[in-house]
Amino acid sequence: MLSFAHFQPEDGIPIYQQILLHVKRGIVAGVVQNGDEMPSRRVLSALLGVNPNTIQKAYRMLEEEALMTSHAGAKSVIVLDEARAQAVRAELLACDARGAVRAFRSAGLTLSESQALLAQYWDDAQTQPNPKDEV
Amino acid sequence: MLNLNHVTKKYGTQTALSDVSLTLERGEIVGLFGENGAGKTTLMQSILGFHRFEGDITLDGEKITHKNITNISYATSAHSFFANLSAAAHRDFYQSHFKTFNGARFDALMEFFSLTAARHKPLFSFSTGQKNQFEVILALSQGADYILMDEPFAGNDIFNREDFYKVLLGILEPHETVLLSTHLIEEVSDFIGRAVLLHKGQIIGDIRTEDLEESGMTLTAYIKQQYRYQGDRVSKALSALTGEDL
Amino acid sequence: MECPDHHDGHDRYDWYHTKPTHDGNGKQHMQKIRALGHRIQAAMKRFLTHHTPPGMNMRGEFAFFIIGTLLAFLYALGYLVRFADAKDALYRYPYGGRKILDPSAVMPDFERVFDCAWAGFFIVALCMTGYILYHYLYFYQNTKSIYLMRRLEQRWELHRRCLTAPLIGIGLSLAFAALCFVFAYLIYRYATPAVCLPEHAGMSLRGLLFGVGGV
Repeated sequence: MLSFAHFQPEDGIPIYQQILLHVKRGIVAGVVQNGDEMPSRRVLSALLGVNPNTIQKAYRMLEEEALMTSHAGAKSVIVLDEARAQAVRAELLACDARGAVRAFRSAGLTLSESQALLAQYWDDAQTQPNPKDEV
Repeated sequence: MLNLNHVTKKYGTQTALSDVSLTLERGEIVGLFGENGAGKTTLMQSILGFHRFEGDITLDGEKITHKNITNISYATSAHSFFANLSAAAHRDFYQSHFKTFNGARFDALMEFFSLTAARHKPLFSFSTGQKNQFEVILALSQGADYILMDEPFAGNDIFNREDFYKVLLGILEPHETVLLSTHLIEEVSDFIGRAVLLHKGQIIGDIRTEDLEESGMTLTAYIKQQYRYQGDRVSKALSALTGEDL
Repeated sequence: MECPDHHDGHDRYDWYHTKPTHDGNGKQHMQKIRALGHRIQAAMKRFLTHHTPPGMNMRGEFAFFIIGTLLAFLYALGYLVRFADAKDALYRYPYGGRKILDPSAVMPDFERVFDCAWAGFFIVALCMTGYILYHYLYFYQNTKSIYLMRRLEQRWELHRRCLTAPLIGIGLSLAFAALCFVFAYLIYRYATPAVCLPEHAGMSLRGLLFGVGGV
């Protein structure tokens, strides 16, 4: 079953979006796989201390994005194939990239300056993948 | 559905509630916010029929009388249990007076709050935090569809409170409705589905947290906005009267 | 040959079955009485827990009632003294030895002799009404259990618990007062020589309740 043990709610971002992000990051990290069970709405609501409506919204969005199916009476289950997983990966990467680009451009950097900056920090210990980023 | 329709409560010249209209649907978890003296307690106690008031309050379409009052439970920081009785004795009392009493839930909550070992001790020997916990246990075990909680966590530390919210969310059935009055705005903002603001006996705000999320405002910001709006009204009125730019 | 009749009613084959011994019979009897006693005790306890404020210690109240009633009873006994004195005053001791009834002497009015002998019982009754207030206040002390009582389906639960014990106390006190009056009057009426009884009733409500100054 999908674990939310390391889920840390952040300020400023709606909880349902954070839940979606949590699942997607898990997909990218390879920890979330096709067929994995999602906790029931009530259990997740209690676990996170979050209103059931919020959980419902998150689950609905997961279903709309075809990442999850729910059947009445049964637990919701992750639906994933290689193509879908790649799409999610691309989506998250695009978000991160867009965020970086926005930051660099508003600081007035050119493309080559941004690339140099990225190269400078590529090998930095602080930017190595953090075990905590994995779900 | 719990419906308040143009409810007004006056104590002589003092107005505790002024034209309050509010509808709570089954399954909602509603936070009731307001400064001290805003009328939160009066509102809850009017629902319970402890006060006479103008206007009407109905529970699933019926007036609230001794026939349906047991469908509403009440937890208050003043505590409404018998200090001389034990938790076990309260279990018996509730069992014999509330047909819908949920003994399994009572036992489970006692266990969750580590009170089972003390269940034969008189309640006056409990700490304030434990008393609060027991008060909430009773309100949740009564089997009522509408649970009114009036600042039930006063005196509990933050770890206690977070436990409260989580166990509440885990234990509530979809048909159970909670009205919770508290000062701890940001703490409950994820837990509630709707926020109602009371100020000087009037409702000055009523928003679903979903809609709040869409607007990007925090609950505190929304509350401040609504209060400032009230403040603006005052200064605008004064401006109009005195011609000064306030 | 006719078979002998078993007059004691026992089956002739009784000795097959284990019979209780003579002592055993007594033991069974005691057990039954004790069991009955326990059931009565349990019933009383149940009555108490359902007719008193939950968690309230009623011992003080009971003790007060018992002691108050005893004191009232002792006070009422004063009537006998007053009556004896009043009766004695009907007699003369002309020769210092035997007494002779004076037929012209009249027994003082009953209310004068009675002199509110029953006052103690009324005082106890009055105090019990104080306990009614005490019981209601109990639900506002320490915790506001009044909020729980007012949320019950049983509307009369609160009143039943607050009123039962004091009302029983008041009822008993008034009953004792009535008994006191009846006994006192019977004594007056039948222990006084008929010729000395006054013609009129010898009592008024005001006199009985508030006294007219004793004998």
